[in-house]
Amino acid sequence: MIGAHCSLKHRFAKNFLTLENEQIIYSTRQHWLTLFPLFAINALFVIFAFLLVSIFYTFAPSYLITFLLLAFIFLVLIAEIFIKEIVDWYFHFYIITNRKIVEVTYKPLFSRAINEVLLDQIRCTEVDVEMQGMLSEVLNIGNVVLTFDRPTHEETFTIKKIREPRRIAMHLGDCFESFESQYGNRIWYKTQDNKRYSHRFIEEISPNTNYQLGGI
Amino acid sequence: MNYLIIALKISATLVLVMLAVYSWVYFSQVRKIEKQFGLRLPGSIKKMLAVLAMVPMLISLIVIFAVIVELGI
Repeated sequence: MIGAHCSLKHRFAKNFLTLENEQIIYSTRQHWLTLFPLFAINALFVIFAFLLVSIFYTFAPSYLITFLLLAFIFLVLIAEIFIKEIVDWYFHFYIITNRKIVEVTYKPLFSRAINEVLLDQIRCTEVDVEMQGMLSEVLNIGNVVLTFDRPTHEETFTIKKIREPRRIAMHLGDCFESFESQYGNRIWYKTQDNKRYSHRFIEEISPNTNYQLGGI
Repeated sequence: MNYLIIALKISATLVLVMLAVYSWVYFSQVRKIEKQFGLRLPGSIKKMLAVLAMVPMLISLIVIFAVIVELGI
């Protein structure tokens, strides 16, 4: 039972369970501190707006209302950007189940993307942790990079800026190990008769017909 | 100079109306996604979105009224 020792769950993630016998292993968002640079920039802009109004007021005190109106527009604009970033952060999350990995990126009014990797179609070869910079080390924020081995190419899936990346990576590593034993190695096989190539891979193009694509 | 200030106020009002409309459309889109995914945005963010949709509209109405009074229409 893969899901039994994987207890990190989110209520919303249940809406993404579409396959048979699918269980949530892990779901997360980026760490909220990733929004901090934006908070800082917005705060600077607010201070800048107040400074501008006070400077204008010193030179032309009779037009205070007009300057306040312009400053208000500036503040509304900053608030819009601020809210948009928070909403974008909130609607960007990762869900890992025993059947697939999903990355949902929803930017209301602008874009939507759902990136899905079906685990029974691939083989996970590496689970790496990336932590760059002193702040990441101190706050324990980093990326977990999953490398998948596909018959035709190698592909990576990065879970970005999450908290406790080492623990999550270890956890996912254990889970993928369970998948390997559950699903077996479906793509790669060793040839019996061909001495030239030690391994070959096949890909199913049409049902019940295997086409040999190449060898290593 | 007065006409320049009035023109500035009218353009500012137009920008405020546009921002309010954008906020309203954005808010409705967020609510739609919330329903679709079963997600719940924190109440404070939703309140802020609603305020951003209503306050600029209110301010722009006040400015329009002030400009009308100033021009004596």
